[in-house]
Amino acid sequence: MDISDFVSVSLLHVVRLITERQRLHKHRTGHQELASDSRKRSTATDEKMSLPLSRSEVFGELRKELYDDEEFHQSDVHIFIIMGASGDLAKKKIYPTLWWLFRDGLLPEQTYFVGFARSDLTVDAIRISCMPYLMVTETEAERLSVFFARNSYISGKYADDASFSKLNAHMLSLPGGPEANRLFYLALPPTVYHEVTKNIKHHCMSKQGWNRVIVEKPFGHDLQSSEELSTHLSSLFSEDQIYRIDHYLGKEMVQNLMVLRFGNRIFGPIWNRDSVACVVLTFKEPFGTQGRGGYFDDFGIIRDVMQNHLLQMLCLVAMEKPATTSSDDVRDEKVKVLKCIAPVTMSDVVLGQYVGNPEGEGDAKLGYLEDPTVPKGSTQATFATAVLYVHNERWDGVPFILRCGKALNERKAEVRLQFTDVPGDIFESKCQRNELVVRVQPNEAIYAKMMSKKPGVYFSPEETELDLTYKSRYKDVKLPDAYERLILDVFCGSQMHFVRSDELREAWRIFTPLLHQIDKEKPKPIPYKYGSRGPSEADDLVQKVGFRYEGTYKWVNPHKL
Amino acid sequence: MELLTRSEVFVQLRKELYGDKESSHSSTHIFIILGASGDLAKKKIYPTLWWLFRDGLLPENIYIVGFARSNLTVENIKAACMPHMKVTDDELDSLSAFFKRNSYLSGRYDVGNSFEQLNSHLLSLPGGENASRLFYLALPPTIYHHVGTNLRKHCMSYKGWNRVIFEKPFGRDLQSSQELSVHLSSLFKEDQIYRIDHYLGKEMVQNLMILRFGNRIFGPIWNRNSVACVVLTFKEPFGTQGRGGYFDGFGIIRDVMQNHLLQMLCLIAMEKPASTSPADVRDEKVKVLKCISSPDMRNVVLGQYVGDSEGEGESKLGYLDDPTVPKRSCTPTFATAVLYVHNERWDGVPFILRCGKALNERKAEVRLQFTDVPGDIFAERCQRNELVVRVQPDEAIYLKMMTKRPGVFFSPEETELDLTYKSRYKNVKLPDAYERLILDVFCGNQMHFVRSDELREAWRIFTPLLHQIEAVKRQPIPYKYGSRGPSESDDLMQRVGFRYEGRYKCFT
Repeated sequence: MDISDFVSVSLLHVVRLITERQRLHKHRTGHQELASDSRKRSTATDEKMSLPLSRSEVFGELRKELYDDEEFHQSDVHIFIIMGASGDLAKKKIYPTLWWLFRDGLLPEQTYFVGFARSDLTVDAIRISCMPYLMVTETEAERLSVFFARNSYISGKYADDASFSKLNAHMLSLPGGPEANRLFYLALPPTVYHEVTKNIKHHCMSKQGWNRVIVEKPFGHDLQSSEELSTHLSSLFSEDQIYRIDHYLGKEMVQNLMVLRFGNRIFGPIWNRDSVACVVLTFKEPFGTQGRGGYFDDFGIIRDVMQNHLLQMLCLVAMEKPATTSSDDVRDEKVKVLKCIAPVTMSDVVLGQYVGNPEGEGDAKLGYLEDPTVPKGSTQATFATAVLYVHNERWDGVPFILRCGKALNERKAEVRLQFTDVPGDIFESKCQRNELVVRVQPNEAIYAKMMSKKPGVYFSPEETELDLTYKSRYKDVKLPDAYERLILDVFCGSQMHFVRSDELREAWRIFTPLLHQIDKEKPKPIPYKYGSRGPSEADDLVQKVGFRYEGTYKWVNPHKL
Repeated sequence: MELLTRSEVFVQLRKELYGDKESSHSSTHIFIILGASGDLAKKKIYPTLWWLFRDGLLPENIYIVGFARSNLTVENIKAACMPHMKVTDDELDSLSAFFKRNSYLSGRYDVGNSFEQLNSHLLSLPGGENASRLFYLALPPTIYHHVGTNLRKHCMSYKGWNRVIFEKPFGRDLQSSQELSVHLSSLFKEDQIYRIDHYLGKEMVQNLMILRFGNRIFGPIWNRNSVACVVLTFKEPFGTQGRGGYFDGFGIIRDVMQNHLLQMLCLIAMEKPASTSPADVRDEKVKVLKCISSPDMRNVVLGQYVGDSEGEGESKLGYLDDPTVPKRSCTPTFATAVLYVHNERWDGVPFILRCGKALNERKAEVRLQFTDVPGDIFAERCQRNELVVRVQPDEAIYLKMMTKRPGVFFSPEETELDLTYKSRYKNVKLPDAYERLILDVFCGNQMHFVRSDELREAWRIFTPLLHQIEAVKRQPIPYKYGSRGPSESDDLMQRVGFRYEGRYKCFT
């Protein structure tokens, strides 16, 4: 799902933060009018927020927030090294993200970008292959030239010491290179992690600046392999140098979970087993493997989505309030939640695999097994629902339902807390359960499903919602893409939104027995039709453990004109 | 919203309110307006009956009988009401049908004979002998006594039911109110008496019960552990407009606080009733009132508006400039009072009642301000959560809360979860308070009416304060027409625990 997510994200790339830029847009005034109209109760803070900030102001504010201005000096030289610069991830995601951050003035002024890969390439060649993903407007051409003037490229072999010595010499030769801080982004297949990290450690560490290493998943494929990798990394780098990306942690609404939970008094007393009937964490994709199932088939949906993205969201929903918002205090609490979760058992899991819909069009006609890159007869799951329980005082008995799948009826990622029935009902069972929904994508929103008097001459309850739809409420605020936030965090040295080694270990501990059983027994996943809601057995499971599905209700966008 | 035919709506409505038990749709009802020539009848009661009739919400066999001293005809009444009835061209047929159901009798309120005549007229209507009767007393309180007695003596239906609707003022202090109640109780049973507080007919006031008791999420936070204070607000942007003479006899506390605001307080503070039956609901409201002691004068701020020399038109005039207001009147046109509900749920939580005329805006709302988050981890950047139910104008419910400042930031910022009726319920017409309430009387639902013991408790709470104010005769604090009221009121609110975050526009 990574690549497709990248594509959709960059297509959507709207993502700018600097209001100053928007002011330059001709139609900006029009937007403002709409915005102020939609916010009758607009706040002073809003107004303050929509005041244009200069780039350096934004950057300054940002640094202050993340960083208390301590460590990082904007004048310091930084070198961002992309290992695997010729690959897909680099081309479609990393270079574009760096460009957007650079364009928006969010990177330190003295930043250099160094690509490294096996191929014999030039910066120009990289520029050409990245161009389709950079979304450069005409007025930005000059800025783009400045960006690529900061780029250089070195070719070398990942297993070759001399190549890394060469890379190091190149970095030292850059202006301010000897004192520079270095950020290594490993956009590489895991097979070469070992060699590359060793070589980085031996040849490329900055002696005067700091060094940080960004690692992409897969972080192993079970507890053992993941532990091997972690042990290896730990032998080379200290924990505070390691940045494991789970890009869900870079999403606006995922990052919002902590503020929602711990910044609001109203949620405190109801955020526990007394009031929450169940928690549903959902990830749905409307497309299948699209000819790239070969890679996916090695992992399956549980490793691809559930064990990382959904489990991370679970942690943020379930954790106790951390002592502070420092990275380690937050991650301590997340680990603590994971420690209270027993390994998932097969009886709490439904697995599915999509089949073609003969009435569908295009890709929808094709099932997973019809992807030519998928091994014949593969029993790999493209859909999974699993029920986890957090055995602690707050959550004992509350099912956390993790649902994810490909080729489903919609694109959606959300967190849903379903509250218990009102005890001592006085409305003749006409009330549905309250739900608090945080929609991560698409269309970020928070809404509370609740009962209100049916408007008019009636006195009966009717379902409605209290709503906060970002598109309506924050019309002129562009939400940065997850990678922009996360790369910025690495510059700032904030590890809050990255996966710590012990977190990763616990996540694998929870899923490894199940994964091994599946790998060994190869149970046949339940077929479901491309474009459907997934196997009905999943709904049965969800109902069995306590989720109440009220078919009667459909969310209405209250702001739609 | 599903579309229903009118009769379906009525059936559904009756079923909801009524459980299909009592009156069948086809039985005859007679609605008698006593004081049919007056302002209230002309501007409010006749128009409301017309709207209900037009929308098919009244029983089919309905007759409307006007009674007053003046020598009038139905035509006269029609002419007087027309400006207030909002009749469209295609409703003219329906309007004729409505007035065909009308008749008018003149008579004297203190003469038994007049009421005998009225009774014969009621009996003479088709189905009149079996008809149920609704008497609406749109009269000054001075003649309640006579009219009540005469109605009881001469106009009771023996085969149908009888219900009597009263308008405020229900006395002017505990003693006078009790005298009136005792008198009414000697004539009618409690289940025949419908005291109107039209705030109880408002959509959002009626919604309070469902919001509170239909939602699990509010249950655990609706108490002294989580609520820092409750603010009940009524603001009018205009002054007495030359009708201050009447107002001056009462003042803002009697006019708004002791009834409308206190009723809303009850609905916010009460425990969950055993059922939604009117008796159970009113039992709980009375229970809340019993736990409230009289406000201490130190917890009260009184104001009186003065003209704004820079204003235009009316706003140039202060209360004392109203020619109908007695010179040097000390009657408050603004009041803030802090009440405490001494029970296990609310002990120590201030309920702040604020009301006033000639203020900066028109607004009625209920606001619960929640306590600070204990153990803050966001460097004191969080503001308090607030749940606001806006009663008028523009009905809405919104929850002020903190969210992550959108973008690359990780700091809390204030926002709200919102339910604005205008956007969410675009095609739903909210009936006016009187429509609902009169319908309730037809259906025999007393939930949204004030019971005698409720009234007594409400007066018990405010009478000592009112007597003290009247004994002291101190000039209230002057505030400018169109302002937020005296700043002493804000000081009082802050002193008792309301946190006003200047950064957020909640009270402008």
